[in-house]
Amino acid sequence: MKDILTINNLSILLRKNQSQIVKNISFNLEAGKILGIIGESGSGKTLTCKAIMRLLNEKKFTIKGSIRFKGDDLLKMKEGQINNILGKDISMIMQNPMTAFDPMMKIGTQIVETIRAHTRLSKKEAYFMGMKELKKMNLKGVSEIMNSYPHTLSGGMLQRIMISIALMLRPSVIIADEATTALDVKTQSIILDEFNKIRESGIGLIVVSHDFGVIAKVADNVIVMKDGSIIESSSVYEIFENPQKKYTKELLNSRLLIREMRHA
Amino acid sequence: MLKVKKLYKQYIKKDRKGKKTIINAVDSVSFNLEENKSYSLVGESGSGKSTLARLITYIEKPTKGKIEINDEDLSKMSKKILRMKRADFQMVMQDGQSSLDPRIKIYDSIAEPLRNFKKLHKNEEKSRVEELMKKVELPLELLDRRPYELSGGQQKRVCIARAISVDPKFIVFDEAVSGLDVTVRKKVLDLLLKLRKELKSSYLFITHDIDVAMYMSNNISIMKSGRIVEEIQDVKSFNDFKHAYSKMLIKSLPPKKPCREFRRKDVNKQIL
Ligand SMILES: Nc1ncnc2c1ncn2[C@@H]1O[C@H](COP(=O)(O)OP(=O)(O)OP(=O)(O)O)[C@@H](O)[C@H]1O
Ligand SMILES: Nc1ncnc2c1ncn2[C@@H]1O[C@H](COP(=O)(O)OP(=O)(O)OP(=O)(O)O)[C@@H](O)[C@H]1O
Ligand SMILES: [Mg+2]
Ligand SMILES: [Mg+2]
Repeated sequence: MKDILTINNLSILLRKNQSQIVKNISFNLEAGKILGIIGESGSGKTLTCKAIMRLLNEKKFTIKGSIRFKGDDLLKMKEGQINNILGKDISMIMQNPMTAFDPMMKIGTQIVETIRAHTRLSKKEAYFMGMKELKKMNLKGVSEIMNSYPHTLSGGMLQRIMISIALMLRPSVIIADEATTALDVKTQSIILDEFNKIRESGIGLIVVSHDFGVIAKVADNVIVMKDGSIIESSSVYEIFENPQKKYTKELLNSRLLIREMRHA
Repeated sequence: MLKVKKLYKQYIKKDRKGKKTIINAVDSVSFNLEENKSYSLVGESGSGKSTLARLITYIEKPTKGKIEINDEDLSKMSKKILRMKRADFQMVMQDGQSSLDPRIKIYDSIAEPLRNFKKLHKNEEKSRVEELMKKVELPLELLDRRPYELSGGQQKRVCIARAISVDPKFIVFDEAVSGLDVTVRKKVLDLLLKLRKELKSSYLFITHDIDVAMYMSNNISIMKSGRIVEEIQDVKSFNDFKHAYSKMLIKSLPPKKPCREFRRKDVNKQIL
């Protein structure tokens, strides 16, 4: 299969003290595949995703290495060129749904603006497209949701809206950072089925998750991050059945909470 | 300790044309939470769990219904008494980042409840804050940073440290461990279990993760569309879940191991 995203020797440093947060990592994403990223809290997963989306403030971070999207280095692209790609060809579902939305703007308006930034649809067409897409996320009362401000919606509702916005423009790469952390297992299962479905259509997904169930259900390949480095990388079957590194084994061992140990 | 009788919370929503719909976010909920006990609440996304949490920690007022703390009616308490009671009733909010003040450093975020409720000397305060950081597995170097300079899981742990700082009698945890890696999650859960035993306090643990719910408590309530549809005491296994919705949740649990079948949309069997 063809790689759509190739990350080579990516490092992220804090300008202030030159401390290295992400350390020389390389990986690639194939079209029609889901790459799972698991790892320690604070190991640099979100910063890596944000670097791909060019969301890191260059006054604060130094970024080294290359991030090639269909051959072109995203890190070398000019503002105009990058704006055409981000949101349309590559989109990201953020870890914190509450802070990812504009608090002063209704959901419907945010959706319409996103769609219209990359298509020629009219406001009305964009509005109805938005409603149609939201319905796929197992959301009820979609017309009221479109007319709501973010703070009046539940955490899981916001997550689903964000997932929907990311999928809406059919990008070729979707990055989902802890996208289903607040969803009940039934709703989560519906969303993950949706991920599997869009994978079939040739889209590449990066799914960052602490939930081994999520990884087991969707990932083809998995990378494990610890302290800014990739410590292990292989197929999802290998990771579960034949983990190589001590830390990966430790993660696998703590994933199931043993009930006898409960002190309730 | 905490009694809730026929609690309601309604929100009014409008669509684009101005047509109003009433949302019964919390719809006639009653329960008793006893001292020195732990409870778990799971339920559908949007079913009113966070709203219920805000009502019982009096962040928001109910539309109807009564909340009693040690047989005292909450709505009849003066502001001053309510403020004092805050020390005993803490809440860890679902959204880590937005519940921390972006302007203040992590150190001050954690010290704030201590300053409000415990009069400590500067040195005592410092050592207490550092001790809390270690308890939630965070490096001390984060104390100088602001919330947006932390990872998602680090923010969550700061919120947990804040809540436990004043040794409250009752803590509501709303998806408090959902962004943590499983090793840290286990350490934090075990810490909370240990603390609860020491302080004889009560927890209400809101989580989408049924494993976590069962690990933290053997009293589990299931919520759907504003109502508690099932309350199970002394849960031993998945077989104790009887309501149709609860059973459906159990059926939708993700696989424990990767397997090809699961990736096909039409197959929905749980393979353990
Ligand atoms: N703006 C910032 N300034 C300084 N340090 C930062 C900043 N943002 C993140 N960090 C630090 O960089 C490290 C990596 O953060 P990142 O958010 O990528 O972690 P993560 O792997 O996504 O963790 P989690 O699973 O908890 O979300 C963390 O130790 C964090 O404290
Ligand atoms: N401030 C508000 N104004 C209007 N409606 C609100 C407000 N807060 C919550 N709601 C509505 O109340 C319902 C319940 O929301 P709540 O946040 O309690 O759900 P939840 O069970 O916590 O969901 P999740 O698991 O997704 O976090 C939702 O329909 C939501 O839109
Ligand atoms: Mg993160
Ligand atoms: Mg909630």
